[in-house]
Amino acid sequence: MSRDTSYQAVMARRNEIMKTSMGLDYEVYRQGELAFDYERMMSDCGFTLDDIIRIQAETKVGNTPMFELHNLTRAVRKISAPGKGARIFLKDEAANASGSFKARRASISAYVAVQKGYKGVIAATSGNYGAAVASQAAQRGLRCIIVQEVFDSHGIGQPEIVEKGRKCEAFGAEVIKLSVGPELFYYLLLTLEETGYFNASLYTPFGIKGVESLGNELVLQIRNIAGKDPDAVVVTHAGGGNLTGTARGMLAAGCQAQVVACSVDLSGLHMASDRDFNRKSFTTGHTGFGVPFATWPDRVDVPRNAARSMRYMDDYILVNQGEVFYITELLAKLEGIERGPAGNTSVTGAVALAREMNEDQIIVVQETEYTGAGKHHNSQLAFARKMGIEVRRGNPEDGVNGKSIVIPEHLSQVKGRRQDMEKLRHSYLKNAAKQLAPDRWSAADRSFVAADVKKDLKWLDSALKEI
Amino acid sequence: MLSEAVIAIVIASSASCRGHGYLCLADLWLEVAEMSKVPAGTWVEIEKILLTPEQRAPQVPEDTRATPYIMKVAGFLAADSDPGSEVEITTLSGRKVSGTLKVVRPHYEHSFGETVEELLHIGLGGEL
Repeated sequence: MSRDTSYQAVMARRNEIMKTSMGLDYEVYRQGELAFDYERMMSDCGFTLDDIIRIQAETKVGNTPMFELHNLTRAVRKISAPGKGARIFLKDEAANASGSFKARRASISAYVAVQKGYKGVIAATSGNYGAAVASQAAQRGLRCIIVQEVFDSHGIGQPEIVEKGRKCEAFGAEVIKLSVGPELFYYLLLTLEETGYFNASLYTPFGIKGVESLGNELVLQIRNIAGKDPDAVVVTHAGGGNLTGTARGMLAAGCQAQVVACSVDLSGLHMASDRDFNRKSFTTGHTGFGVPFATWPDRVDVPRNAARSMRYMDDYILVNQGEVFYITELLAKLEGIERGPAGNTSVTGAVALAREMNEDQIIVVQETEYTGAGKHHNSQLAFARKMGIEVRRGNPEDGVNGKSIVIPEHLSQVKGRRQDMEKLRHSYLKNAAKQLAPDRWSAADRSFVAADVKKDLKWLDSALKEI
Repeated sequence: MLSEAVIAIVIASSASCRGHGYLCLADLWLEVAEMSKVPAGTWVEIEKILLTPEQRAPQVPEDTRATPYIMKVAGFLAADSDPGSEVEITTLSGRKVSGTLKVVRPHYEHSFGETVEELLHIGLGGEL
């Protein structure tokens, strides 16, 4: 039987394809035009935290080390006001199979795929998640296909993306390499339909449940090392799953630390632009994903996104490309560890934050990722130069995305800047209002929207008057 | 004698090499010098236009819309074939996919890049 493979026809079949490829009916959680029962959807997975930890231990996931970054903390104190400069800890998630925290997300999906009798798994991803799915699929005896945006119209691929594709193939996965564009989702649907494989989406409840063990683990480790809870946990933020899962795990451990998002500011560059594709030096953990996913989480490859970052986010720090490259180099030279860009984004945010916090306070950077050829700040900068981007030392604030990267001359120039949280919440409300005019929201919709931005009904009423 | 099609494909492959870090040009020259056909079972990469510019998603920005949506995938060649011809491959997941034969024995050679001297001075003591 040949089916219509045009863009419009395939997109029209999306709900049917999604349901078949996940064995999950999202309709049962619907409570209104906007509202759905988020907590019931999460608990219906049927996995307790102990189950997650046990499943992950079977496939080399979890129980990663926690290091205190003594030298970096000392360096930050030198540039901070007296009494300022919080202790910075780093959770070394690169120690998971496949080299990043994404193994936690993939582990539960692969386990569920086997349980439900699927022969293989498919994931659409630009990065570490592909390697994680491939690694978990290999261990569970599943076939694996990764659908990846790799090259621009000149056939040129970012070195980091090329490396991530290589790693997927190293674990035996088929990698479908695509040119720039949002039609990646279209081709994902077609491939799911063709193969009948499980959709190991980043945004299913399984994907988020898998990260809860990370939040839980980090709280227990800090309690063990320092005898108290962390004060702030910095999370590199893109699609929102890392932040959501980590925060939920922290809450499960009874920890009320501030949850701080951190993204590389890539404003001015269009994520679906063929030209801009190779003029950004970060492939994830940037505002191109972080802001749109925070302000409307349901723009994903599943009907309702289990990653709802604004429910848990207390603060949001933006850093620029030059600042992260500087901190990446400094981490190697001061702390003797080389790690990849995703975790180093939040190390950069942590440096900025530590300067504002007291010496006896604790900040945890909750992930690292592997590094190597292609996925390395030197390769990224060398590549940027070849693409005509100016690379120089100076004040990082002078960098212009797509034109120049300015690497700080001194640690004191690593400052980061605040994303306006209220502005983000208002953007969320505007996006919700596009779905349904606020005067038509039911009581359930109103409560859902307020909870989805971590606010109450009183705030909602006053905010709706402002937008 | 190399056919025009073969020469064209070598040039096209050379362009795509930059993207993938593949060193395919030399391989392909050797390949075509030694034999006119690529033998069945060879690890190859094919390319396929999934959507023409007119068929692309409505939300695509203008510069992207000017280009076709292209897929590349690697697999084992089903039958002896000429470079540049329409072929079928079996991918690592066992799928059969057809497209234009572009690269013979694709491989990776991405690296740490040329030295960026601006990084070398960082962390040599000034920060502590």
